[in-house]
Amino acid sequence: MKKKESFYAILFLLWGLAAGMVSPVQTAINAKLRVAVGSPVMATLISFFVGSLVLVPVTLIMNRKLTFELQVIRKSPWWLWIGGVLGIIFVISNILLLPALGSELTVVAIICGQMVIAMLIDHFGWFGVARHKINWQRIAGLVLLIAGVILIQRF
Amino acid sequence: MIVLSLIGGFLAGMAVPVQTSINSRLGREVGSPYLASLISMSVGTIILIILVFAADHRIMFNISMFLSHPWWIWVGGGVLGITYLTSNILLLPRLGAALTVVVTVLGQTIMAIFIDQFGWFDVPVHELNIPRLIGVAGMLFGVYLMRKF
Repeated sequence: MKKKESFYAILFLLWGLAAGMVSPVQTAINAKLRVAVGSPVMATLISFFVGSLVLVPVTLIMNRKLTFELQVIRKSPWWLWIGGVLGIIFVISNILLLPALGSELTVVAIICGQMVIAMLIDHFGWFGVARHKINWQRIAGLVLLIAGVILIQRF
Repeated sequence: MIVLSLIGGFLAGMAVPVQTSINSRLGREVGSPYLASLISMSVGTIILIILVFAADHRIMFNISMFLSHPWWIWVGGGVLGITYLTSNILLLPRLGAALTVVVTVLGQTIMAIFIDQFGWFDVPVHELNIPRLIGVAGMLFGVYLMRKF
């Protein structure tokens, strides 16, 4: 049982690694698109629009339906619907900050923000995430990651 | 000014795990992580249409550009974006927020080093060196610590 659990854990970690690898490729492609259409916001719109279009058949294949119980809208907190807005804030901030900070500081600041809030989400169990308390080993892991990112950005 | 920009970057970074957590919860409520991705991207698309009007005062671009650029610049970003978004939604309940962030950041870093090394996508070549290798090793150990404790 224990062995099976750790097998899945490693599988999920590898999946996360692969998902992360997709991200710089996406950034590179979107940078080209931005030059082609001459507007960063337009490039982001094309990216979101294409993504939405592709998700329609994906959802239909995986779930055989595209609908959900309408009472979810009434019963759930309002912030359930603003995930996409946060995605846009992230993309636009990236575009605006890059010329002001340069790529090294932009990457480091963003990753620090990501890691700090992720630790807090785990620690307090915000948004219904399973609680996982902060301990010194996790903080050491966080420091190592940030130090690693700084080293790679610098050299 | 630079301090303000740094704070801006820090806050923008915070948007990512919060978005993943919200979308993960949305996936549970609507009964499908894929539908959650779709809702998130559609809301984003609608807001971006408004932003494009506000920023560019028009929502057109030259159609001839479809022919003068490779096809994948139009679809690549969107397809990879939803892969990243949906994977994050599926992984967060299984790995927790922090581990999801660190493992995807590690993947990003490794891929970025590859892109630099070989100059893919017309990026200037930047070869792997010892400090970069030490950085990757440190990050791997960091992921191990987070996973273990």
